[in-house]
Amino acid sequence: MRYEWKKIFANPHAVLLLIAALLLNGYLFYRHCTDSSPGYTEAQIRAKYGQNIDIEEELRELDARSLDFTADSRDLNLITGDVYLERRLDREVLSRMEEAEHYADYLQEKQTEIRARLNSGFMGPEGGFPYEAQLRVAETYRKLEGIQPEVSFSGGIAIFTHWHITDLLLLLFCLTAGLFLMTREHTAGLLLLLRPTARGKSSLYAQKFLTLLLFVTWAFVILYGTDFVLSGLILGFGRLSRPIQSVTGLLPCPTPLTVGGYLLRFLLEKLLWLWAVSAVVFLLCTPAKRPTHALLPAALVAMISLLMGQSSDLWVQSLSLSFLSDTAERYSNCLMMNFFGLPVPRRIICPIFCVLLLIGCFLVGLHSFCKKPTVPVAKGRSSQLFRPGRHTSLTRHEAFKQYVSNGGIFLLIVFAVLQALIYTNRSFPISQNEYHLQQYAKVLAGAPNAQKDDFLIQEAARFEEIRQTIDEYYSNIQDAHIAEILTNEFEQKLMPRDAFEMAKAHYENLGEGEAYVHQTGYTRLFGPLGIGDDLLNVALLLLFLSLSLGRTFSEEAETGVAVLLTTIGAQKRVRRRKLLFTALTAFPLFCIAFLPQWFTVHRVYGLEQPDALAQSVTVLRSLPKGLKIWQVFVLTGILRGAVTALGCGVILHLSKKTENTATTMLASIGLLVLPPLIARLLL
Amino acid sequence: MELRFHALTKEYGNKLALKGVNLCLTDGIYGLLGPNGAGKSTMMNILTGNLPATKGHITLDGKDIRSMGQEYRKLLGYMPQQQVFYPGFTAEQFLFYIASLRKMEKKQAASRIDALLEQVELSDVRRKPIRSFSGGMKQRLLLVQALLDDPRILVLDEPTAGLDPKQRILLRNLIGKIALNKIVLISTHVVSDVEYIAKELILLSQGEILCKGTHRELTKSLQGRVWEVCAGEDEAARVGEFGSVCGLAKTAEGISVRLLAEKEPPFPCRALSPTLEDVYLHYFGELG
Repeated sequence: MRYEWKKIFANPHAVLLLIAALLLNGYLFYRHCTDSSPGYTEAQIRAKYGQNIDIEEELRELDARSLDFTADSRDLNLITGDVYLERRLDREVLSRMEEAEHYADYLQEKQTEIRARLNSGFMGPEGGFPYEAQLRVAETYRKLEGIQPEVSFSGGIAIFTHWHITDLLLLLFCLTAGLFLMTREHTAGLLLLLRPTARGKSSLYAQKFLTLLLFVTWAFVILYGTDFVLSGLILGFGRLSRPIQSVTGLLPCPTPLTVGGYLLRFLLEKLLWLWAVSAVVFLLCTPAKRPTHALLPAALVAMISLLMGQSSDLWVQSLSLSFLSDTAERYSNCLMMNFFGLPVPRRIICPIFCVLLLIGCFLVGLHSFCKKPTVPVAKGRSSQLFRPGRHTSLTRHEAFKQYVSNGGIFLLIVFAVLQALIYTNRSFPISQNEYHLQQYAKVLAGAPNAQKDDFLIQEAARFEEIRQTIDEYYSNIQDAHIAEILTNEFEQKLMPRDAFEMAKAHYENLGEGEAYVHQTGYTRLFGPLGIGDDLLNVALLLLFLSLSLGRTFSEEAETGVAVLLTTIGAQKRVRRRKLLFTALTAFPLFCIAFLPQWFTVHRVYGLEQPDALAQSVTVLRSLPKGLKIWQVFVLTGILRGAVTALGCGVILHLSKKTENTATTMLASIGLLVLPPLIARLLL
Repeated sequence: MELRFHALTKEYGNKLALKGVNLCLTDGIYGLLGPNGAGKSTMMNILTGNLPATKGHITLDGKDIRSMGQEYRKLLGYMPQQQVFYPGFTAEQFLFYIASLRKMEKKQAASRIDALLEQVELSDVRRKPIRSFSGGMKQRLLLVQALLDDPRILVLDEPTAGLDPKQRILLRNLIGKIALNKIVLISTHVVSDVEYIAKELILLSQGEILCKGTHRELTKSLQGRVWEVCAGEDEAARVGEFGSVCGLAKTAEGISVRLLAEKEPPFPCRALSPTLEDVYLHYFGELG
């Protein structure tokens, strides 16, 4: 097993990548601990807890000071050094304290809520699963009566247990171990040298599997150890024997645990999840002859688990690998799952599933590994669907290598199908308000003019008239119920009023040269939701680029054909064609990555008046004046194109430098795919 | 055509792999003999442009090959020691790929490929993926790619490794047939591969040329120094004290020992005609 362990560390590029992941984790977690985006840091919250002052009194005083607009808001005696920020801080601390202080009321409310649900009949008949589940929840919370959470700072625990970027980085370690312990040996034909009997193979597989678990455990200890030390040093964990309900966000925890006990369970369950994920990755790497054959299914499993995590079905959601990683979430609610009619707590099902997944993947992998012939049975004919003709066109040969041998076409199709699945499942809701806004946009679109001004006046008058009619009904009819029935028709007519007010305010605030543009589509594309989508699309694009282009230059070094290319003097011609096919591969991938978002938003919300000034759209107001909306699209396209080109450059450089496909793909994933995913998580 | 090595030197860190090699090759087959690590592959890699020389240079008809560029590479065919292929390609596909690298015309490539595959008995498997080939089949395919554009300079690194005796002879005869107007440099440590087809043999050791000459010249230098000694089983061990033992065989009379010795050994013996293997052992015996 010592040699298996050495194999992982034999590649200097992979080791550098893992060291970078360790450093990145420490840096990001440190930034997370010291984050001051709400206007204060967690350390300042801790300081406030330690002040021993009447915070309510202080807040009243600060409120009074904040009303004096002539006074300087800076005050170095305050923790934040600013009156307004200190108010925010006080409010946050007060809400946290009140949460813990009113725990008994919370439990009582919970029981009342459940009783109301049971009495309403919505939970079905007695004996049915929904009814029994509610009873079980009531019983669970009843057992917690008597617990008194401690009013103390708990930010250290909350931040440590709600940080998911470490999990994301740990996946890189799983992939490294899987590829270096199994796939790379498969590619190099080294498995031929290993034990040939079924018993020998099973022992070897077990050793490799154990090495994998040890390796990821080692990574887990280092990464989570870093997080633990940092949060302990910066924020502290407080008294470990206090009830877990004292921790912010864990008030609804249905288990009578201490903070120390919770931390222990958290770490053990997280490690179990990591083992289960590693087992899945190892299973995918076991039959893979090339890194792409392992990484593509792994990417698909990740996407499927993300889609499962968003499912409304509790079982599907709970058993997704993405949800299983969220240990803290399982302890922050009490959800019962229908296990053949029996209500079983979700926090119990999840770790059991992880154990089953771990054992299941090991057994399936072991069976597949032992059944595989030691000496590969060569196929008598080529398995490739497309055969090039008898020709001497280097361009066609290189195209064949890129699209057929290296699976470029297949990857394009998989990415297209994946995006289609994502965008058909992603919700783009159209509310009633949105519908009315779209209707008003049809009238108001474009530059302001007298006709539109008149329309607004008339529409406002129409709403006022309806309002008056309703008021008259209510004043004339004493019975409010009858009045409600009679005015129902008018209330319906009043429904577009909110949308009208928004449209009117938007129209009236248009600056010089600006036009009325329906905002929703542009907000969806360029607002926070759009940025989140963009980051995911960039990550997916770079992942598929890594898989498609990872072999571009390493293939010649791995097969040894580079020697022939040098002898013949054809390196430059081959390189030129490789660059051409890199561009021809990247362009469709680029289109598949970004166009579905634009088309879907255009189809659902509309992207009207591209000729209007970008200033006409609220989310684009910060852009330089004079820029038109279509120019923003072009600039966005150029920016994305530049990111794509940079990604291609990095992948090709890695492929040339490392001369190893597995290392190239791993490093590409670490350097290119993880950063946008991390950025999305931090959004 | 004249290929000349001028004080060719190659250093790997502190280690000198080639120590100022001077050599002149004209049309014909040359056997480059030497033990592992003698510098054969380094010399071939410099010749084929896969390695730069630290000092010295190679000229072809007086022109430095580095300045000739494509003009030189067009003349060059190389069969490397490692089996280098795209495993998913078929034999035919791989050869057409090499033809495209060599900018060959489609018709010319097709006829060359058909003829060469026929000659090395790979016609039947031309459409099978290379990954399904045996070591010998791959070796023959590698030779075909080297011969594809009918190069004037053919560099073959261990061409017979992994071949069975029949295939060895087939390959040897093929090389012999095509070598009329070419410079063929064959690196090997299997003496019999080049014994009968090489115009000259070059013996390389520790980066230096020990000697160069025809088969006859090299064997002539050992004339009168190769003996067949007949010894009893108890005496056989003592025979080695009088020279280098080239071979042992049990006969009805006792043990027959082929001995390379400066003087006639004090046992019943007779002088033999030296072979190239005796030459090899004479130069590399101790190193080997």
